[in-house]
Amino acid sequence: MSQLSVRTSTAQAPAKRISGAVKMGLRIVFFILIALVFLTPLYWMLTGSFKEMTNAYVIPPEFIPKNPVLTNYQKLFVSNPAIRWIFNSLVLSIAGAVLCMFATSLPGYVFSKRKFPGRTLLFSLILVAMLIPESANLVPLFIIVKNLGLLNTYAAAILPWIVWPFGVFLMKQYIDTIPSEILDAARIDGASEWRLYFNIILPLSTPVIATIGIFFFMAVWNDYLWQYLVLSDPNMMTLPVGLISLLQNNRGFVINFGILMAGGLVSALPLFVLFLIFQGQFTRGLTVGAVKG
Amino acid sequence: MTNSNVPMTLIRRTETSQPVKRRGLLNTIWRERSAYIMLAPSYIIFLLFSLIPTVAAVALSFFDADLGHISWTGLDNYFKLAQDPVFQQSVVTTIKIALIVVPLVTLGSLGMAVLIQPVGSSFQAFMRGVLYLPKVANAIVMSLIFLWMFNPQYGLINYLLSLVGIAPYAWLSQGSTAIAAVIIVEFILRVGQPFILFLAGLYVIPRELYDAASIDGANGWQSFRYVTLPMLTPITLFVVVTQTIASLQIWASVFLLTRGGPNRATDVVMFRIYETGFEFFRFGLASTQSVVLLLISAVFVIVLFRQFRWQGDYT
Repeated sequence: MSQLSVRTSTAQAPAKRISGAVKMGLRIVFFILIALVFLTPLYWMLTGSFKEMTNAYVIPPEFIPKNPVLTNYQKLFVSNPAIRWIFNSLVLSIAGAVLCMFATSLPGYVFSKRKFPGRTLLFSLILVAMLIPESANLVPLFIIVKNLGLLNTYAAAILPWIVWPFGVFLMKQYIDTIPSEILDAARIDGASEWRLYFNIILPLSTPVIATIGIFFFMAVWNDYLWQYLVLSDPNMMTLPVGLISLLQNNRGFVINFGILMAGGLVSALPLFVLFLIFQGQFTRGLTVGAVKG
Repeated sequence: MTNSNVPMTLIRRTETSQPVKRRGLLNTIWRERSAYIMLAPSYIIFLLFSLIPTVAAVALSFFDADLGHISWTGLDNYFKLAQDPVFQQSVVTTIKIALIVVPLVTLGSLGMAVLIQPVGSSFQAFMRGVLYLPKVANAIVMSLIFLWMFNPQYGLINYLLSLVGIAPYAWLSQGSTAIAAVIIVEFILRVGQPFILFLAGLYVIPRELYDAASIDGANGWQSFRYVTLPMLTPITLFVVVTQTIASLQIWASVFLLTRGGPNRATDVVMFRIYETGFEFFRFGLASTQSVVLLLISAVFVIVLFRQFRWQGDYT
C-alpha cells in the first residue's frame, strides 16, 4: 500500500508543478494585460500633452511623440489663468481638508464619548444624511448659497461639504475604541473638555483623521459640478472648472486635445504623487469602513 | 461613562423629593453644555447645508420656481414628469446603465481579487495601485482622455481595433456604442476601490475554514461558494450598495463624452437635473427630478438590503 502511494505521488508531482507554474504564468499575463488597459489612458494623457495639436490628430496615432513640444503647457499657463486655477484648487483643497478634519472629529468625539439629551436623534440625522445622494441637495443648496450672497467665494465651494457624514461616522467608530478611562483620568486631574479633545483624542486618532483629510483633499481637488455652479468668476475657478471651460470654448470646432491633456496631467499629477506616497494610508482608509475584523 | 458625574446625580436625586423630570433634563443639558458647544459649529453647518437643503428639495418639488418667481403648483411637477417621454427615457437609461455597471464592477473586482490571490504580495500591491489610479485621476480627466480615445478617425481605440481587423466605430455618435463607451469609462473608474476592499476581505478569511472544507471533500468551486462568498457578504453588500448609488448618479462621463448622447441615448437622470436646474434654471422641476432620483435610489437600497440579509443567514 505504501509503495503504491509513493509511486503515485512522485508520478503526479512534476505534472502538478508544471501545471501550477503555467497557471501562475497565465495569471500574471492576465493581470499585465489588465494593467496595460488601465495604464494606457494615463500614458496617452502624458504623451498627448506634449503633442502639437496637429500631431494629436495624426493617423496612425503616435505612441511616442515624434516632436514633443511644450506649446500646450505654454498655452495653458500663458493664455489662461491656469496658475490661478491651481492656486484656487490648492487653497480649497487644503483648507477643506483641514476644516473637514475638525468638522468630523469634533462631532465624532462628542457622539462617541459624551452622553447628552438628543444624542441619538442628532447622530441618526447624520447617518440618514450619509445615504442621501448629493444630487438631491444641489438645487436648494445653490439657492441657499446664492441668497446668502456667497457665490464666487471660497466659503461657498467647501463649507457645504466639510461635515462629511461618512467621516463623522468613521470618527465615532474609531473614537469608540479609545478607552474612556483615559478621559476620566484626565477629567479627575482637572482637564477641561477642550483639553481632552485637543490633547488626548486628536493625537490618538491621527491615523483616521489623516485618512479623512487625504480623501477630502482629493475630493475637493477633483470636484467639478459644485465648483462649476458656484464659481463662475474666472479668477475664482478651480482647475477642473478651468479645464472644462477650455473644452467648452472649443466644442463644435476641432477640439485641441493637446491642451486638455496638459491640463489633465497638471490636475492629476499632484494626486498621483500623493497617492503613491500614502498608498498604505489609502488602502487602510478604504477598508476601514467595510471590512469587519 | 462620565464616572465623576454619577455620584453627583445620585446625591441630587435623593436630595429632592419633587418630580425631577424637567429639572433633571435642563440640568443635564446645562451640565453637558460643553458637548453642545463642541457640536454646534459642525452641526449648524450640517443643518444649513445638508438637512435643510434636503427638506427644501422635497418642498421645492411642489413649486414652479426659477430665477424670477416662485409659485405653488402642488403635484403638477410630478404629473409633468410622469407624462414626459424624455424624462421617462432618462430614468430607463439610468436604470439600464446601473443594472449593467454594478454587476460588471462587483463581479469584475471580486473575480480579479480571487484570481490574484496566489500571486506575490508586491504584485498585488502593484495591481491595487494600477486599478485605483484612474479614480485618483478623477472622472473629469479620464472622460477627457476617453473623449479623445473614442474619436472615430483619430482615436486610439479605433486604431487598435483596426490592428486586429475590426472596422472603426463611431463610438460616441451611435446610441448603443455611446452607452457602451460610458459603461467602459465608468468601469475603469470604479473597479479599483471594490478590488481593494475584496482583497482585504479575502485576506482576513481564516485558513482553517478552507482546510475544514477540503477535509469535507469540497473542491475549488465549492469552497469558493460555501466559504469565500459567505465570508465576503458584508463587503459585497457594501460594494453593491455604494456602486448602485454611484451608478444612479453618473454625470461627469455623460456630460463630457456625450452630453446626453446621440439623440438622448445616454441621457441619465442626473444630467436631466443638471440641464433643467442649471441650464434652464427651472429649479422647481429640477427638485422634483431629484426627489424622483432619491426615491429610485431608496428603492434599490431597500431591495438590496433585503436580498443580502436573506443570504447572510447562511453565515
